[in-house]
Amino acid sequence: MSSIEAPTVTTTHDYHRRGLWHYITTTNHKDIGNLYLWFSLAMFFVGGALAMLIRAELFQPGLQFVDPYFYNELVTIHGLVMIFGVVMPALTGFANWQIPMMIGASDMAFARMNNLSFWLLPPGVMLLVGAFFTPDGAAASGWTLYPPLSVQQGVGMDMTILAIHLMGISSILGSINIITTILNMRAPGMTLMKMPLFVWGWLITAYLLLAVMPVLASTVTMLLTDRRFGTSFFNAAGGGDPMMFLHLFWFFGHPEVYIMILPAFGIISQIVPTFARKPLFGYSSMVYAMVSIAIISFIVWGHHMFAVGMPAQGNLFFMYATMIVAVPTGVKVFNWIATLWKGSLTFETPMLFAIGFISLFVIGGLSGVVLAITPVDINVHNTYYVVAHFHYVLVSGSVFALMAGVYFWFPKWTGKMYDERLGKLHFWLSAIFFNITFFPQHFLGLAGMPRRIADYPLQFADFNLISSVGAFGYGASQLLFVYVILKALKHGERSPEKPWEGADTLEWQMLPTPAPYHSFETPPLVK
Amino acid sequence: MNRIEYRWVRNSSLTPEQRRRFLLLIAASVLSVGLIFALWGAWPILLFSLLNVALIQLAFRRIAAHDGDYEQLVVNGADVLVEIRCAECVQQFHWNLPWVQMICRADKRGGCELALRSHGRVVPVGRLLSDEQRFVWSKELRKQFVVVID
Repeated sequence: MSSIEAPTVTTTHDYHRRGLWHYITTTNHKDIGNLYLWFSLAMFFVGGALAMLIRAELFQPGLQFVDPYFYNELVTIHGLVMIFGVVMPALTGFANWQIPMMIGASDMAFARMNNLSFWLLPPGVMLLVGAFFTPDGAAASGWTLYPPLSVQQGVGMDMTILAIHLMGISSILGSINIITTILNMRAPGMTLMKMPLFVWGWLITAYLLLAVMPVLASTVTMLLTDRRFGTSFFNAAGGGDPMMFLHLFWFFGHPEVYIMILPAFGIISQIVPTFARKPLFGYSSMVYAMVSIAIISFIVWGHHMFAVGMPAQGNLFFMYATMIVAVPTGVKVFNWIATLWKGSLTFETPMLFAIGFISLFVIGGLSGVVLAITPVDINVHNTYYVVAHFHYVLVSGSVFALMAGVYFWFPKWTGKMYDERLGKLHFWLSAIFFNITFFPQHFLGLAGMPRRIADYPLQFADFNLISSVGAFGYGASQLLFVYVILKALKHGERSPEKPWEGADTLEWQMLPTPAPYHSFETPPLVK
Repeated sequence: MNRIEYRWVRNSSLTPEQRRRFLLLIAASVLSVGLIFALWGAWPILLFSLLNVALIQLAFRRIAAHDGDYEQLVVNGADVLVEIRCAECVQQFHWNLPWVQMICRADKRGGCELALRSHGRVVPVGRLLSDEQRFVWSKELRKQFVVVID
C-alpha cells in the first residue's frame, strides 16, 4: 500500500481498467453511459442496414432482392431496433453521462441497478434480430404487432415479445433510477426550476415511461398468452377484441414518441443558448411546455386509429386533443428562435445539428397537424405520408439531437476535440440526404402509395428512386460520423477546459475537461 | 477543556414530505391508468402497474432510509466519540484519545481513505467527504491522533 503523505487527488479521468469484466460489472455512470452510447451506435448500423435493404428493394418497381414476407420482417425489425435499440438507449446513455454531472451528484442513485438496466438490452436486441434465423423468420406484423397477424406468426413473434419484455424492464429500472437521482440527489441550491432543461426533459420522460411501460408490458404479455396459453384477449376467433390491442398499444405508443423527443428537446435547449451566447428565452415556459406535452400525450392515442371506425365524437376528441399538442410544441420552437434572436451566433457542428433539428422537426410537426385532421388522415392513413411524418420527427428530431449532443459533450467526455470540418461535412451530408430520402415520401403518400409493401405500381417509381438514393447517401454519411469519432478519440487535439464559451451548466463550470471518473463526490453549492 | 466537533451529513434534495408527494403523484397516475384498463377488461395492466408502483416505492424507501445519514466526531479532552448513522443503523464508539490511531490509506482509485482505530476496532470516517476535503480534514486530524500510514 502506498502512503497518502502526498496523496494523488483524483481529478482526472485516470481510472482506466478497461477489460471486458470491468464493463460487465461497472457501476460508474460514465462507463454505463459509454456502454449505452456505443451499443446504440452499433444498433444504429444494424437498423440502418435493414433500412438499406428496404430502400434497395424499393429502388424500382418489382421484386428485386427480397420476398414480400421477408420485406415485412425487415420493416418490423427496423422499427423495433431503431426505437428500442437506438434512440431510447442513446438517450439513456446521455442521461447516464449528463444527469449526475448536471445536478451535482456523484453517480446515479442505484448504481448496480443502472448496470443491470444496460445489460438487459443486448439479450433483448439479440432476441429481436436472432428471430431472423428461426424457421418462421422474425416478426412481420410491423412494429405495432397488431393482431391477428401477431397471434398467428411463428416463434419469431415469441422472441420479439420476450425482447420487448427485457427492453421494457430495462426502461422501467432506468426510469426509476433517473427519477430517484434527479429528485433526491440534486446539489444544495439546485431547485427544480434551476435544473438544466435536459434534466427536466429526462425527469418528464422517466415519468412517462413509468406510466406507459406497464401498459406495453402487459399488452405483449396478453398477446403471448393468446398465442401460447389459450386466452382470448385479442384473438377474435376466441371472442377477443383486436381493437382493444390497438387502444392499448397506442396508449403506450403515442407517449413513446414523446419519450423519444423530450430528452432531445432538452439537448437542443442546452445547445442553442450556448452558441447564441444568451440565456435561454422563457425557461419556465419551456418547462411547462414539456409538462403539457407529456400530459396531453396521454389523451391523443386515438389519432393513430382514425381509420378503424371509432364514433365521430371519438374522432373529433382525438383530433382536437392532437392539435392542442402543437401549442406547447410551438412555444418551444418560438423560444428557441427567440433565444437565437440577436444572439452572438456561431455555427459549430452541435449548433448546425440543433438548427437542423429545429427546422426539420417543424416540418415533421406540421405534417403531424395535417395528420391530426380526421378526414385527411383517413385518406393518407397507412401511406408513405405517415412514414415521412414520423421520420421527420424521429430522425431529424431525435437522431439529429443525439448527434448534436454527441458533438457538444464529446470534449467534456473525452478531453479531445473532433475535427470541426468533418463534423460540419457530416451535418450537411446528413441534412441533404435526409431530405432527399424523406421529403419525396410526402408526395408518395399523398399519391396513395401504401406503406409496408415490397412492390408498387410504376407511377411511384421516380420518387422511390430518389428516396432510395437519398437513403444510401444518408447511410454512407453516418459512416463519416463513426470516422469523426474514432479519429477524434485516437488523434484528436486536446480540448480546452471549456471549448464552448457560452456553456454554463455545472459540468462545464465546475468540472475539469475531461470530466473525472468520479465527479462531485460531495455536492457543489449552486447559487 | 479542548473540544473539537466535526459533523458531516449526507445531501438530500427532497424533504420526506416532498418525497411522499412525488410518490403519491407517480403512484396515482400509474395506478389510475392500470385501473381504467382493468375496468375495460385488460386486467393484467393493473398487475403490472401495481408491480411498477411497488418498485418505485421500494426505491424511494431505500433513498429515504439514508436521509439522516451523518458522521460525527467529537474530541472532548481525552474522550473521543465517533457516531455514524447509516440508514437505520446508528453506531457509537467511545474511545480514549491516547489510544486512538488515525489510519490513512490510498484507495484503489488513487484517492485516500481515512479510518480511526482503537481497541481492535477500525471505523472508516470521512466517507461523506470528497477526496480533496478528506485530505484537508486528515491534516486537521493529524494534530489530534497518532497517524498510521497503511
